[in-house]
Amino acid sequence: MRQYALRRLAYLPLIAAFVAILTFFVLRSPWSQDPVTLMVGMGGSVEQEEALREDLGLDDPLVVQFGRWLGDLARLDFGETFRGRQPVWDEVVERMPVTFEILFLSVFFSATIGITLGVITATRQNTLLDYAFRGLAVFGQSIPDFFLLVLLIVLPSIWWNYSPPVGGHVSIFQDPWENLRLYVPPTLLLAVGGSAGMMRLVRSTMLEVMRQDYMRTAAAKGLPNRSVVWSHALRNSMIPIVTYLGNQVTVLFFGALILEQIFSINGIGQFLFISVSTFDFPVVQFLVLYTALIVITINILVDLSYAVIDPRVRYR
Amino acid sequence: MAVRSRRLQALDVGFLAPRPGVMRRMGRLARQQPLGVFGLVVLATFVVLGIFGPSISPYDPRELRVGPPLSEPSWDHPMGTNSLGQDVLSRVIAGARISLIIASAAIFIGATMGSFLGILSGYYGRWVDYLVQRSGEAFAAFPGLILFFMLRTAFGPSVKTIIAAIAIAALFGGSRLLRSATIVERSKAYVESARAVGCSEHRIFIRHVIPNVLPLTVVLMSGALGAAILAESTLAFLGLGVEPGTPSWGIDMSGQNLSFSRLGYWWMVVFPGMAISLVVLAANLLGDSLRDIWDPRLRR
Amino acid sequence: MNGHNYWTRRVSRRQALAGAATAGIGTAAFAVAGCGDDDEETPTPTTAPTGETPAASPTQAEAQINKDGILKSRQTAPYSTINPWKGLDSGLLWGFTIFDHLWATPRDTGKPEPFLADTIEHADPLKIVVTLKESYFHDMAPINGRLVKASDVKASWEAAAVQSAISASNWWRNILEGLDAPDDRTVIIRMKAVDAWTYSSTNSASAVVSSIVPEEMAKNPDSMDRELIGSGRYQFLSHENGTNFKVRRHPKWRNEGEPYLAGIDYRLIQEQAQALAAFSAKEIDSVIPANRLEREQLVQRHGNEVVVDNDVSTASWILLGRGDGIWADARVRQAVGLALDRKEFIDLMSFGDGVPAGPVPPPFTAYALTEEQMKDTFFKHDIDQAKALLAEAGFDTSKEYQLKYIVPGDNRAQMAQISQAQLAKIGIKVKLIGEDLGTWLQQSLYGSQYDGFVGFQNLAYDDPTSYIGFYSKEIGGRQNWAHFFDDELDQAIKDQKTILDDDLRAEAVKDIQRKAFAKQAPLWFLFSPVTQTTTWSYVKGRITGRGSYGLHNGRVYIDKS
Repeated sequence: MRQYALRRLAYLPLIAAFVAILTFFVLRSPWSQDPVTLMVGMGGSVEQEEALREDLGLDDPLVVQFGRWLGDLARLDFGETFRGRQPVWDEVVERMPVTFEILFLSVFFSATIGITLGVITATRQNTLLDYAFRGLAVFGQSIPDFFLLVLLIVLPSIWWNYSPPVGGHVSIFQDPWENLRLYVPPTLLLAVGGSAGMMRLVRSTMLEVMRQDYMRTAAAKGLPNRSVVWSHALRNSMIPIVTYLGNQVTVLFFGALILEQIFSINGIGQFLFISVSTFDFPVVQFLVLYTALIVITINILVDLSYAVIDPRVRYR
Repeated sequence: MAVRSRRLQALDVGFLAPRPGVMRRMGRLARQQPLGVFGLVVLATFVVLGIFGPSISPYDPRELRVGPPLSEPSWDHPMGTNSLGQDVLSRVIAGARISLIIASAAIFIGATMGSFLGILSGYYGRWVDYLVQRSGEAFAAFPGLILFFMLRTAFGPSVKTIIAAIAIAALFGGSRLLRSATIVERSKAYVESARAVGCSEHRIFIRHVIPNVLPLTVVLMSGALGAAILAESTLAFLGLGVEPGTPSWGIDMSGQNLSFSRLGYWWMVVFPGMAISLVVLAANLLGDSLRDIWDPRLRR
Repeated sequence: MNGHNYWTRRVSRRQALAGAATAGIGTAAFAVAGCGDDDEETPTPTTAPTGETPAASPTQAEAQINKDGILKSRQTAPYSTINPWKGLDSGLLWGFTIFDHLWATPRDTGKPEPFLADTIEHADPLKIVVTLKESYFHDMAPINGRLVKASDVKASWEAAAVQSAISASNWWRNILEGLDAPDDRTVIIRMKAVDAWTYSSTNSASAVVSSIVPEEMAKNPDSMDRELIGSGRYQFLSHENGTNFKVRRHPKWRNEGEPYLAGIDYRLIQEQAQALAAFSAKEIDSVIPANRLEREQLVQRHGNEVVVDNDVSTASWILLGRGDGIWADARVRQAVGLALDRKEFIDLMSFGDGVPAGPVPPPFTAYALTEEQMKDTFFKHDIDQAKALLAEAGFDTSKEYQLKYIVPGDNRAQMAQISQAQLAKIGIKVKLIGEDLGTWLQQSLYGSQYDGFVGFQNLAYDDPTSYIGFYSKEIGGRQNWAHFFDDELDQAIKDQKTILDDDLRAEAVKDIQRKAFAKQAPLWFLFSPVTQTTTWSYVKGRITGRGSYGLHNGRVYIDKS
């Protein structure tokens, strides 16, 4: 198992390298867009652009630029943003807490609501409740998340002439109540799609699990129903659940982006978006690498967790 | 289907043998899968709208001031008008076209290529498999939107970029699915027997394995269609979609329309949103049904 | 995007008059990178004379003035940095609040009003001798409130001129030679060549570049990444990642008793509709409605508790054609001009809130021709004559031409569509092509790759290079984008820069405009939108019609009694 983990981890730098190289060259290739003209703007002169280009190091040959970037990376220097000449690392770190909170809340709601409903519908299979929730689930997976967020804003303004609060970030440590008031409604909505999928997944997995012999044994043994359902059926369904959750983190990252847009939240998603729009190469390079690493790590963790959850799973 | 194909294998026909009452079988299927039929019907309706849109829509979706701006839904304008005075209903109908075109093109390309890769990878195994799998992982490390951002930065925003991005996203998911199906299929008894009889690997592959696995591609496509439409409309919403002159559901839900909607003018954003939800719902229902028919084991 | 693209808004040059910060990636880029649909006005640094404001009689009113108010303003996008020399948005905002300047130039008179400068002597065209008033920096370490010296001015100006991130104008880079500080109170500004526009708000009166910063910080610009110390009315208090700024009154501001406000709080609200809601809830004190409908809704809701100010923007919409090929025939170009119906543009794009514009934006009254004067020339609308001219020139009406515009942006698309419709009426078929900013700017505009027209909104400053410069043979080191090369106009534009007498220069600029019409230059200015800032009536003391300087005049206060 350790060997497996190590082997998977060994891939990390390879893939990271691949991602880094691809991003770098795609962004800075000659047929790609030129950030300098945009930064200087329409009234600017060629002279100003040249000065800026030199300042940003964009006038050197690609290979030289790449070498420089690699050298910087080795020293853990992630460069400066084009737009404000601020250290990329600092900018990202400042925005991390917000995005993490949004992600955490979304995944949390997704998981709890999804699993709970999944268990309920599995245990009450083919009842009215089951059909109702399943219907809602399919519907929930079909609604675009931005539509839900838009509705969150539109409906209250129509019904109650009320608009959800925007802007202004309050840290959870400073004022938990205010913080939750700001973030819970939108993250709940973001979680709709995820919990719908989760619910269906839990339901079908549990149904399969509950058909197994050992479940009948458990029930025959006289274990209380609660215990049968939660500690036995659910536990055995964990593998697909964990996989799904791992997947959700990535998906929700971009849900967070939309949320940050609509609600003026200054998080990483927003930052990435602006940076892409303004061709802020150092930021995009860094964030792509960073996201890729996170995604891969999550995948590895998920795979490893299989072994933890289910002792039958063995890795060579 | 698996049963039928084995019978066909025995006959070594390779194409459809006459079967009893296609219509009757379809009818039976329809009754078993009412939701799927519903999905199919709705989807077909939107396709029709997409194709015949320009002829059926009451007004030209791009024309300004066909009605007083920001007017509520009424008989003249069943879905109201937006801030430019454009008829929302016409725009919703027109939006179907662009969304469906992009989504289907992307899915078609992505799914076929993905299936192809998956089948190759699953059947031939070893280094082909290894290569495809590793590159799949590498690309999977690029969460979709980032990949799109990069493509867009490099190639500029255009319909092709969007289609390419969605296709690539669909590609690897599809390849994995087809790969596992192929692996299962190739270990089946009939393949062994075909080999024993003296069929070449090549022939087995093309005439037997592929026809059995390809229907899965259709299932894959229908399942991914919903996701593709969601992806396209999300991109449009964020402003990364096709040019704003083109009516698109995502675009109609953003910008000025969104701004106005907060002041109480809800119809401009709600109707396109409902349209998206409806189409995706239909696609998902259809996909689910097809999956049920093909292989109940895959039911989620 | 679609109209209100959140991201364009991010890079937009929006500025709520109530001091909300302008977010932009380049002053000159503002128009281009700006939000598509909101024709909000520009960060033109206009000024109101400071201590000499013709305000209400001081003594009696003073007693009743509440000096504890905090103005709540809106910020439309996060700033990339608070460093004024690394981000133009920051530079502008702090220029109006935290930093002081030698002088500022209002856009209607074009004559500099002294701020920190006590006396200005400009006998020798290449040398300005300035003496400074007594003024102190903010009391923050390590500057600790010391006196503002001439060496600070010298260090600030010389450092700012070479910061590539803020794209200082040609004057800063090529005309300004250097500064001398013979003693603590005297500054000598030396120039390499005569430039009549030395005092304009892109040049020495720039709110960004001419900000006075402590010498130590000027010599080490990175220090402003984390802290800001100036000598302006307010001092910097805090921020959160480039948003939600707070500034507070500078106790030792050189005008005793001012500013009346105790401070200003900026709140990040990116979505327009949310801003409107926040305004209604009194969470911000003023807002700029994007169009008439929004404004009317606000007025309807709040009646006379709100005040609406109408301001003609300096950002005009422009249709640029070509001067070569089929367009080399002046009759064809004249026909295009005659086909344009500015009133229709104003009605459709701005719901009637707009003013037809000539080459010089209407707010610059000293240099602009009046509507009356342009009625029979630039603004003439005659479809029949246009068609006749086209026929006479043998124009091929079967060919389709391109009109390239920037996407996203509702207004941009709208402008393009209206242009297309109007040109169709005289037989010119136009195909609309939307391009993203990068491609549009670099290839279509700079590379002159458009077979027909381009449409955009242009942000103008008092220095006419920003608009009349379009007639030159070379623009910013590149060939004229429309391939329109006219020696006479080109020379006239170069000459007017050297006319030091203000009146003569104004006449020269007007003459250039008349010439441009006579030659049918392929540049058609359409209209300037009118922006209406809506403010709660409890915010008192604003001077309207002067942009940011109107708000930041030190005598604004909040009266909620």
